[in-house]
Amino acid sequence: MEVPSEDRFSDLPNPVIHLIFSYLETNDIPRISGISRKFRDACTSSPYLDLEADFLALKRCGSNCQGFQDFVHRVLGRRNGVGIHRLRLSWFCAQPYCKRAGALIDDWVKYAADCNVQELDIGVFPGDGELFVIPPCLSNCQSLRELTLNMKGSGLLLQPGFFASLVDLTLTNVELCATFSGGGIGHWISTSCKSLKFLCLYKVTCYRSKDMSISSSSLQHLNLCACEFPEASKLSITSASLQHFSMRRCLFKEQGKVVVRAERLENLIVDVVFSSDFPNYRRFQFSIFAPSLVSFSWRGPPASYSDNLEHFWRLDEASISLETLHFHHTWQDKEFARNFLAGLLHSVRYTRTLKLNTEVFAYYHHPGVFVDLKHLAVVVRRFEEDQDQTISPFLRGLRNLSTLTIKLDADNDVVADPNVIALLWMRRQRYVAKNRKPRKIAFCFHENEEDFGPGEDNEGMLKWILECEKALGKVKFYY
Amino acid sequence: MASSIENNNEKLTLKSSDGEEFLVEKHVALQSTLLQNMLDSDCSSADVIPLPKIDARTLALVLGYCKKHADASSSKQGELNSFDSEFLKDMDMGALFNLVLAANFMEIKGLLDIAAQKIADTIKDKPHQEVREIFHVENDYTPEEEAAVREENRWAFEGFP
Repeated sequence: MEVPSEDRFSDLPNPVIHLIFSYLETNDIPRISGISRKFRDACTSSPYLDLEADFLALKRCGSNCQGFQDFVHRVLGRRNGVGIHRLRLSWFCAQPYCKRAGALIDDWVKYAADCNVQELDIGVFPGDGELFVIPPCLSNCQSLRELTLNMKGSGLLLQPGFFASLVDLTLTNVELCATFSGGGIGHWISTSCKSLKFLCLYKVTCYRSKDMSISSSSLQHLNLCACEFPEASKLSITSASLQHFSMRRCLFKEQGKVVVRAERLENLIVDVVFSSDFPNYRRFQFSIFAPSLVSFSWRGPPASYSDNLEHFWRLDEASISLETLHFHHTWQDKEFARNFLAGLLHSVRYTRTLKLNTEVFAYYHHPGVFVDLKHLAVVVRRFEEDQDQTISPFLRGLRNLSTLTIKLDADNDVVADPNVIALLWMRRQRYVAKNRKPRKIAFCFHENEEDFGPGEDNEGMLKWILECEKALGKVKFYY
Repeated sequence: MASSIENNNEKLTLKSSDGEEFLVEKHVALQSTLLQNMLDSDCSSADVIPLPKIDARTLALVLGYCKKHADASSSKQGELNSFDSEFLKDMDMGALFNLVLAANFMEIKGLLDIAAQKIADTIKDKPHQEVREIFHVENDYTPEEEAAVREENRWAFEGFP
């Protein structure tokens, strides 16, 4: 055995030891405590702690649950003056004996707040039908900058508070029922989190969101991902500081309305889903005031687009992906979809890059009216789809187009059939923009790109196609 | 900052603990916050800067890292990342500890981070006995105590041997 003085790890300066600990992962600290006493003491006073125990799937949590609780008590209780930078504490237990989970978490969070915790990530399951309240001690914690809550689908009750330093808030797997004052999460964010810059709601179910309005002068990034709005909801965001706003795969089960007023907004992603048993696409409305918008993406069924829509003067890239899976094909529905697309395409007419899916061309048969569109991409489900013939009216309106890309939906398998390539080659006359034949056609495979000029003879081309065994990803036309 | 750009070709001399001198271009030296602060405060670059805690072998490694990062433009982040992972790949623990101490002393954040990460990875992925051997850590637990600690923290070993 080596003499202790050669123990190089313990001889490292404390800040370096702590930096090393910051790279450890979940439950590494209790695992490596067994190396030596010195190691254990260094471990338990680490400012970076990441502890997790999940007993939800077990009938009885047993002694492991007690072991976890004891360990947390020990590392949080004996700090020896060392602060806590980051604490991740996930404890999921639904045993009757552990019902006091809420109270214990409160105690632990209190320790962390007393140690000037800066980043806090809490995972807790208060039990079915029970509500969790953000520990009141955090409300006046001056050091707290990041807060994450993961609740495995259980309910959170938001109490008014004052999170002065909170910059980053994430709620995951949470059911938001109501706030103490009845004002909703929007009101809570607007009044309790005055410094918030990043807000992320992931898999959050928002009840009582009839009037969820967030108004903030600090918020920069707002992400709603896989959130659910079971009741008629109005989401209104007013912020002069907001730069990025995304709603990805958000489900509206009833009526929905989204209103965005953000002078500095640069990126906007709207991606909504309606429940199939209530195809209420006509009842979804959105209105956007965002004069600084640079990038805009829409995915979802046709919706009501407000008439007094502002134009996006600075738009650089736009993407529209229409979904008509539960669409009833009555003439009123088609008319509705046409009007929606006309409004949407009109508002993005300053863009330089545009991506559309083929569904769009099933409802929109007019020439595209764009000021300076350079690059158009059309996403198809299958290359065999014959819908591309309806692209030609659209192309006629595009005077400045320099490339047209036909590409496969990323969700689909890549085509490897030489017949498809042959078909595309035969059809090339269809992709003529404003009587300008493509100057070059490129077949793009996963690994490389093969170019063909207009002078290419059919015979040589067909020979090449028949020998082709590579997977085709997209075809690009250069004008 | 303006002066450092004007005098881009200026060189300075660093002296290791074992007396070896290294001639370093100024923009390379600026990767180190310590040297940057010394140059910002009136320290003349004509002087030899002694680094009494860093031996020649470690200093050569450190300067190799600094040169790569100073010369690469910010657009080549991918190239730098692969350089970083290659840089520490087959390094023995003694050299790695010298490196982490040097990076800490010279305040080179990027190097300190990758070295700390490497040490953390070594600790968490290996069996305790192997970690003890690598770091020369004396096991001051009695066998009974060690078993008790392991039993106490059994909850953390779910899915671990």
